[in-house]
Amino acid sequence: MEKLLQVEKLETEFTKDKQKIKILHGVTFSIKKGEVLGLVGESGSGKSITSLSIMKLFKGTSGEISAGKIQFRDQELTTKSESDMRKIRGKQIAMIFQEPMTSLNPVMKIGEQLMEPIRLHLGLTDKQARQHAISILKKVGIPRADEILHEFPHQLSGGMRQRIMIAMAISCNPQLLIADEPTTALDVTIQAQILDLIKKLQKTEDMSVLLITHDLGVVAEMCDRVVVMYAGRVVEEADVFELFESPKHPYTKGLINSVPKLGQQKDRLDSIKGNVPDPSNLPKGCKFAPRCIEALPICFQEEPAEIIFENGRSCSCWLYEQERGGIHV
Amino acid sequence: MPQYVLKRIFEMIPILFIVSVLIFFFTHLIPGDPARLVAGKDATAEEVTIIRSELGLDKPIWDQYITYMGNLFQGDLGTSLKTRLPVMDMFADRFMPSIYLTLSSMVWALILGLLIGTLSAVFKNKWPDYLGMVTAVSGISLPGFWLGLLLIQVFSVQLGWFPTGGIDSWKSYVLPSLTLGAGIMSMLARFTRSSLLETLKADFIRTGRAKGLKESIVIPKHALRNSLIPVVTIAGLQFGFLLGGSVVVETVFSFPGMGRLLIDSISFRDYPVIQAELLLFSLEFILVNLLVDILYSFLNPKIRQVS
Amino acid sequence: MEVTKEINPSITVVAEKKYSPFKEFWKNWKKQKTAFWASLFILLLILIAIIGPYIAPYDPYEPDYNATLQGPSQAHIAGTDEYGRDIFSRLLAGARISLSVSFLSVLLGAIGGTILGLISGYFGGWLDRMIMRTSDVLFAFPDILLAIAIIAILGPGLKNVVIAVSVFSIPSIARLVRGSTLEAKETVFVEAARSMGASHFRIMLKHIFPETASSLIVFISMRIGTAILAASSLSFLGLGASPETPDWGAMLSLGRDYLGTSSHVVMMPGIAIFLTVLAFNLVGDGLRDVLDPKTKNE
Repeated sequence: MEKLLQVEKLETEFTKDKQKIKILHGVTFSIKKGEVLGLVGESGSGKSITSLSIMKLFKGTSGEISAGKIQFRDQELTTKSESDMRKIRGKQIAMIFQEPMTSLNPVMKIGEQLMEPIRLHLGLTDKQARQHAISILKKVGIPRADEILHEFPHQLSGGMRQRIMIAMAISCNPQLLIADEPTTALDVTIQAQILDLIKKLQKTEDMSVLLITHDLGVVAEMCDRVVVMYAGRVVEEADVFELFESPKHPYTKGLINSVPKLGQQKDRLDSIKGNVPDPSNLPKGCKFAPRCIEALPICFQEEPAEIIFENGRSCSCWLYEQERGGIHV
Repeated sequence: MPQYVLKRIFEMIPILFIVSVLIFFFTHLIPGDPARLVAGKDATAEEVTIIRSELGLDKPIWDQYITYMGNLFQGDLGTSLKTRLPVMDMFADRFMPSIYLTLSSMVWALILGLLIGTLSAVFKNKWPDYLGMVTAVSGISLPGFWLGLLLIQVFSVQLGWFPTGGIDSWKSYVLPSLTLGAGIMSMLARFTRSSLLETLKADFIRTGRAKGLKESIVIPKHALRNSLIPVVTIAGLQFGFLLGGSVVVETVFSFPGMGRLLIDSISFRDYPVIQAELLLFSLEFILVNLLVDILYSFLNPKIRQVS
Repeated sequence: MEVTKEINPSITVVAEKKYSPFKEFWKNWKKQKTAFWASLFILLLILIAIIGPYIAPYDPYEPDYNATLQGPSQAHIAGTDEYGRDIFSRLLAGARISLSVSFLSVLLGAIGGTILGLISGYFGGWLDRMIMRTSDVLFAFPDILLAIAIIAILGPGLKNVVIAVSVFSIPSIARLVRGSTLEAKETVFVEAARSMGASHFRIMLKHIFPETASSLIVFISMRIGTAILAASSLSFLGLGASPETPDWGAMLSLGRDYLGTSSHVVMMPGIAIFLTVLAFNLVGDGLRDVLDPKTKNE
């Protein structure tokens, strides 16, 4: 399948108290056309920064991309000007966020907010934009779309607002939808509905989806492929079945073990001990080593390089060093 | 919506009542015998007694209050002890100039304050921010009467562009209005800046940017509209500051308005005028805050719906 | 020599972790450059207020009809007024008046406001409602008008200016303290103190008042600037200090007649008021950034 987005050795830095702090350290992955890629990790692993880097949404923060490439179709995004990026945002790459309660402007009517990208990117008249907005609202399963256009965000439930956010995101037929923890803030029953909707739209609208989540249950349900991130690095990448079947990186194993499974008899869930390290004070060697139950002496000395396995999956861990070389680079 | 307005008007009534009682009783605490003031120094004790009963001052104070309020609703605010003219007549040609002065000050202060505050927030920690905030902190630290004198010195005495005082034409309003609005403008600029900086951190701003909107749309349409909600509230409260400031500014510019009349009446202990002035100022302030509440409900859809 | 080397490490261990809020404050305060310099300026003013009369080159009340309305010169570095009095000496004397009037009025207002706010927030109920309604009513009078009204009753004079300015500080301070009290009342340590049978007075004084202190300090520092402006405005209007007093506002009021011919008479006291108020406002801004992280922008 053709690659839609290719992120290569991406490095993003933020400045705090005149000091540059690197958050992303050479993040590499790609998304194929029509694929749902999961980006997984604990909070603080750099998932959200990765998504903001793809959109170059750094206004109002000190963030900047300091190295690497982001290839979207035939365009290189890292060198694009702000005004060129604006033509891509909302039109070719759209985004939905974690907090539907605060992601909509509280003082603007839904219709106003929804029609904004439609008018901007599709160049429709007010009347056409309204028609388009109503048809999109129907597509995301919102009843009485006509009336909703005249309502304010606070009149709607969290699930409804997230549907509005999705409607806004897909309104200009983007090729890529970035969903940053789209269901984390919602009730469990609503979560399933929203995930189903995203999955359905991904097929009908022929989009690729970059799904950012810390919830492996969501990953199992939604994704084709998974990229696991830790401390601003990609530590493992695999097909979704293989990842759950035979996780390689101890971090991935830890994440999978911390999910309760049906029929499993256990007194308590295994969770990974300790916390994600502070980006301004990273440990030497493998960044996961201090929390790793399988750590070797070398893990505390040197950072492991990426090992690519036969079937295209990869992992950065010293445990698999001997498997390097047998396979092509 | 109309229900909300009515509710707010009803809430005003007890406050107005207490305010009027307080003002009435406190102005009667002003030392000195008004009957003697009216009668003049040479009057005999009998003459003073007659005048006292003519003025109704020999009745119990509650009776006096009720009579006063009754007259007030018929448009009679009493008679000045100094000029012997009905207070209403004295207010007639002073009221509007003062209103024009305060309103024009508020208008330019709001426009410039919002502008400076917005620019400061957008260019945070860059030179427009530093310039704007130095201007603003200076503005709130300037004594209004001194600023007025400086403006007179430069623009009236040296350049001769504007009159030094009185009211002849619109030109007479320029310097007083600049003086009166300076402090408020500065406060609004500071407040707009901090409010806007807070709004710019909100998630929906990121949503707007992720849609591909320009900053020139995100800031006025999405951010400023939200930041305006607290700014408008502050502007309403600061209106009282303007009313108070007008007393000083009118004195500096020999401006024949309500503020100067108040100061003149205080030095003469002309209590019917003082009383009516204080009532009117409080009423203006309460009315402005009512207007602000209504405006607030327009800006904030949550409140509008609740009502 | 050998011995000290061995002893040293144990000493450092003992002295190592000793948290001091004052050290922490001082560290952050030095970072607030403008506020830091403004606070030095205020210290200088306080010094002047104390020793001013001893360093003044002339008697601030002594007229000299041979030297009226002179511009700044070597003999009179800030010039003289219409009675030939040395303006610089009058400014030095005015510092004492301005600072004592503003400190005293804000202090009185703060004491009154804090007591009312603590009672209102701590006990709640009808007491709270009554205090808050009254402060609503006081709020209905614009600040300086309230002061003018009070002076209309009490008569002009500096003492009455202090009373007027402190009265108009009470409602806002009462509200501020009430807010913090309501928050502090719910905390665990207040619950604990109450369960141990501490008296209301003791809880308010020992447990709740310290919680309100930092926002109170910020508010007071901001309020002093306002108080200086209000007091000098009242003097300017002829409602405060009597004209012969070397009060900055009164000096301006007298000087305005000579604006066209000898502008220094107006400039000098104006600059003094402006710089003093500016310094207090800058210190207030700085204190807010250091002490009150809630209202701070990054």
